[in-house]
Amino acid sequence: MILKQLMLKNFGKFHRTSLELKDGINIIYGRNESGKSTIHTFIKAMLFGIRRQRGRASRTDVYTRYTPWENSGWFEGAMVFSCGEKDFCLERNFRRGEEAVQLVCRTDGELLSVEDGDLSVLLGGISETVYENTVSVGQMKSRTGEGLVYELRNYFSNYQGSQDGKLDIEKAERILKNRKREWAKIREEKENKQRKETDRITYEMEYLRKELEELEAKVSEIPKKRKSPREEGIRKKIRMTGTLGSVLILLLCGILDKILTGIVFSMVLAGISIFLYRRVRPKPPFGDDSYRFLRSQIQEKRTRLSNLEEELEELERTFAEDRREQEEIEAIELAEKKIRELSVSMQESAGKNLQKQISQIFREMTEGRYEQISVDDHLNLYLFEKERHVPLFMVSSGTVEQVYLALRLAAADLLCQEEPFPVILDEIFSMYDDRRLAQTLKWLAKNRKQTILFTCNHREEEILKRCGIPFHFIELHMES
Amino acid sequence: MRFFHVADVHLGAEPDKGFPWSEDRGREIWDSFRRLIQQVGERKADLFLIAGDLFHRQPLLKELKEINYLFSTIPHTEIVLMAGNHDYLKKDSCYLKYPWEPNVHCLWGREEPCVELPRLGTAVYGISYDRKEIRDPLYHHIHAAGKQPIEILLAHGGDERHIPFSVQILERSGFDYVALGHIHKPDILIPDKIAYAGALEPLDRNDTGSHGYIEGTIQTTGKKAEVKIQFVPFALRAYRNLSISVDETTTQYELEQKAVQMLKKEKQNLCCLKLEGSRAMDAFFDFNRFYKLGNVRDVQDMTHTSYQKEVLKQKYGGTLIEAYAEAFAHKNLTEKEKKAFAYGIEALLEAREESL
Repeated sequence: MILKQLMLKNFGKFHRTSLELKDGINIIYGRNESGKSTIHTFIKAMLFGIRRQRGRASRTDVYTRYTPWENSGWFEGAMVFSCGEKDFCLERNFRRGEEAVQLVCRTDGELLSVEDGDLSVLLGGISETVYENTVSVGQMKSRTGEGLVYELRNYFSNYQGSQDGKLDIEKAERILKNRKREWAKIREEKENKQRKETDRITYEMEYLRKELEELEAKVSEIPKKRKSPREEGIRKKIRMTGTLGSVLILLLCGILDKILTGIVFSMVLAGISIFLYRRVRPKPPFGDDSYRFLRSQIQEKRTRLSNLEEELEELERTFAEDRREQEEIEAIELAEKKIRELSVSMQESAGKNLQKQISQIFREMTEGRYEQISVDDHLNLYLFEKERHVPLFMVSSGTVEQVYLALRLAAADLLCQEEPFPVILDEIFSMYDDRRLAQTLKWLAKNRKQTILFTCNHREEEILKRCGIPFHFIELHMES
Repeated sequence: MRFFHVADVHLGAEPDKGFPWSEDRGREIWDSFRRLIQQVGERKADLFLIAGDLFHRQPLLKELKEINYLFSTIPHTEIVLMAGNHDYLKKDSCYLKYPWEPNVHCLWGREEPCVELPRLGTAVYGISYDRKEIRDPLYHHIHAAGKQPIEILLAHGGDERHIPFSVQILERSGFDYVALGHIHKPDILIPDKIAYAGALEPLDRNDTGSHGYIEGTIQTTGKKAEVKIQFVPFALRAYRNLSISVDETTTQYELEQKAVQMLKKEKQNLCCLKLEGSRAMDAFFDFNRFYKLGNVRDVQDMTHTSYQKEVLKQKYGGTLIEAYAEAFAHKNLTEKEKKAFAYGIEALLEAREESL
């Protein structure tokens, strides 16, 4: 795909502005605030539309930032590009509520349908995210060498795990773990509440049991206390006569030499007296009010005790059945598992190819100075320089930036195989020395059909002139 | 003849343990029953049927004294009661020994499951619970024996573990009216013939809807008895499910405001808040705060974050996010999978630094 013309009818600060672009290297030069990023955004907006953010984020989203400064009711643009020998014109109205897009093939005059995916086919199925990850290259945010290495390493590892340099899987996993912890905490709070309640019930039961014991002891004491003196007297007499009588009979029969009869008689007498003794034993005074009161108290407490037992049982059952938190945790675990699986399989499929591709691009770009880029198990990157391998943190910031560019271009090659995309570079050369810049520009001129380069100085222009590479120069003027 | 049919009063229950209104509810259940007795007196009902679970657990002696006194205040009403699965007749249940007022008739026995009230020309049949669970369809074996002109069955249960029955068999068993208890939702199974009175007061958050008792009349013309019944709402409070709609712009404060307004209208009802709709990706609501707004029994988050899978797949095509959306793209997702999708996508998008 080659971008041929950008028509910013009313977009951000631009009004009826048209920019011609050509094959090969295009330099869009402009001082600060001249609208370079607006044009960069415009290209993306034309290709993928502007999706409004929801909620609070909408106040600072792309739509809001690039709403035309003047005449804000009119918010649209058009773009001409070629793709596989044919020219197309894409027009979009961005205004909220009136969003419209029209795609016409100029070569055949055919009206195509964006809704049905015709544009997506022309883009070779590239999504907005892939576009941002690959062909559209901005500066890395870090300014320090160490930060750059770290950022690159992240990007690389993210890319390997998710095909998306900005998506940090580890961070996603941390977020999920925290969610899980939150639910576990809620469960724990419930558990504490539950324990307090069961403790309360168990304590009450304990107390009731003690009371019951005391009451039962009281009841069993009552008969003993209630023995009447008359009955006791009779019992004493029975006991005396019983024992004395049987001993006497036994002696008498012993004298009369009839032991056997003696034993029989004495046992009969003993039996009779034991029977009488038992009969006379005072019965518990059933008619007594305090006794009845005690019994009914015991009954009442027993009922309460068994009710508490039931309550405790129910409480434990309902707690065990309440799986609300557990369900959330299980759902989170499922999410974790799925993400891990997908990430592993992506890494397997993408990792090797990516390393090969990035090494090749980087070798060409540095004109063979570095032969290879390799990655260890901890995703640290190494550069191979004539049989010596250099950890990335030891090389200059310019080199790291260059590896970053190579990485993105490699990813682009892997993901955009159907239709090569223009490479859009936004101020990425500031850390490059002249030689490196010349090499990179040469590589781009040779290997990419179209490069769009945003810059705020004249270095690129001068170097291209010096190297004799043709380019197309566009200067953005400050609006008055 | 005018009659009242009540069931599942659950005296002694304290619903919603741990919530500020729990103890009040315990008292209110008693209050409602007292009011009901008063109502029975005022309406000069001849017969008062209690279809089990008058008590939440084994009744205490002092509690029986209390209700026996209440019964004594309506001496012209014959009261027939039975034990349900909650207040079942344990071996030494106070129910069995209690010296009841003469107008109170208990269906304790299983041999002679019938109380005859010649003054009303009515016989009431029924079988009490002697244990917590009875899986036999005991009521299938009782038939109206023609002892009195009007014959009523008092029955408790209807689910698998509590004397299951088939409505058709009960319908054919010859009773003029079957007064049912156990299911807390009032339900007239066959008009003017078989009905659950439902719990007098709702007892947990699933007992939504109106609660009260059934009032009816029975007129005998010749051999036929004509029954008319009507459900009478009576409960002091109700459990209500309130759904609050959420959209991407909703904030915590706004939600609370909405909830407060809705709760105000509900007065003393006990409410389960259901948040429905779609919320913005970065919106997290603090549910604990809702419990402080009024009589909030439960807060359920039924919202889903508003991602359309197709849009996600388009925007993040070729990346893990697309693959993830794809993994959950099939229809018939289980609840768990739906949740997992939302959790995962939220984390992935959050972990992805947005720039440019």
